[in-house]
Amino acid sequence: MKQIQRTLRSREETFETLVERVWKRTYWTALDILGDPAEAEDICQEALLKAYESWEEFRQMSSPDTWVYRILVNLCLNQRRRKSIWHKISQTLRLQNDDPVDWEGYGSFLNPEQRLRDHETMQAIHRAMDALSPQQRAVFSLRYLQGFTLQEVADVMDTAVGTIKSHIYRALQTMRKQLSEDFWCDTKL
Amino acid sequence: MRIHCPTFQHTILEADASTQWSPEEHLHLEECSACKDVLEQHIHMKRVAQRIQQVRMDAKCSLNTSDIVHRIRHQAALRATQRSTRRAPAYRRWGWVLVCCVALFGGVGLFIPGWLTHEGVKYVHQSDAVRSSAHIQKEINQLMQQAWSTVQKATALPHIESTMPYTLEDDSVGSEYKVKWKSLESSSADAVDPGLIAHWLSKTLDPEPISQKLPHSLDSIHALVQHMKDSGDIPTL
Repeated sequence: MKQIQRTLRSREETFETLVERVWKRTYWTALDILGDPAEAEDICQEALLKAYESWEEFRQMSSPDTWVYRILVNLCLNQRRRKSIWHKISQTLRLQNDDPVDWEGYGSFLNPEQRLRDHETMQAIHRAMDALSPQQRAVFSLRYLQGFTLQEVADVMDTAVGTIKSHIYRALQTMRKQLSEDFWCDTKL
Repeated sequence: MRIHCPTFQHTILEADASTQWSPEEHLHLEECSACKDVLEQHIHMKRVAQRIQQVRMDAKCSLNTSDIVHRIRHQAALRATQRSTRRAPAYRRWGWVLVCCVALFGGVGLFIPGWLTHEGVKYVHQSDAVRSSAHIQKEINQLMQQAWSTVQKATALPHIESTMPYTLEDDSVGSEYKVKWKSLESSSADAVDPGLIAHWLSKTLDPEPISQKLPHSLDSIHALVQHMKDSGDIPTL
């Protein structure tokens, strides 16, 4: 009985450590791909729930973090596919609303001017990302906004590094067209 | 390093601000506007992204880790309960199996008797009873035997064959029977030609083969035998 309790406690502790490690990044990745904070939070929870439910299989993996990200990205891509019909409508609404990301409470330690600049930059990037395909969006977010290496992105997307490079290359070209000259010239952040 | 633009552009995507380029690569980057653009975009995007990463990592989350874990654990427990309640209890599942079996066998027994007869069980339905094919054949044989012995007595020819010179055939579903006469062989020289008896019998009993539905054919044989017994109306050979 004690053995079982110890095992369960150890399981809970390991899971908690995992959540602590990946929660923020999974949230931001989901937000980059989906563009909706509430949806991003739900998808993150769903991905971690899946990991929790198949914990025994999960913890034997060499890189559990990669697996969580893979589940997450797949869920996000499925979600985007599901609501692709509504995508154009949401885009229109988003342009009217002009505030895709809820920044309230984030970066509260920064001075207001800096926060405003970050806010504007992030908004510009998110708007430009709307022009990317779901895969390009996921790859772009993981590589640049989450700082994954090319190999890590390839592992998460379960594809070759060469394919990831092609996605990034095309994503950069699209972003170049979408973002204003000011964005590319302004190096002061 | 031999520079081939698309390959080099892929190499650029792995670079960061501190990447040391070889003189050849450096020269190429100065000369090739496409590669230079890719490098600038990549490095700029990385710089912007680093800033965003930093802001994001420092951002305060409204939920702390234990809240999130608690939520997930609660959700998992809820799902497990839903899964267990969604599954029907054993008695209900076996109840359904029983109902299905009763329906299946009941349906077969009540509504598809033809199937049974076709499969060789051979039951013939009558208004008030079900009799087997073998039973009916036995009955017909008895009647025919009676008819034959009447003929034997009437013609005073006991030495002719004692068994009935016929075969009884039924159709595949056992609802129709036909009596077919065999040719008789003469067993003695002074005997009345058995062929004639056969001929008479076939003319009497088999003006049209006993091919009607059973109750009728049995009745007609009964009536015929009775008539032969009562009237002694046996044709003289």
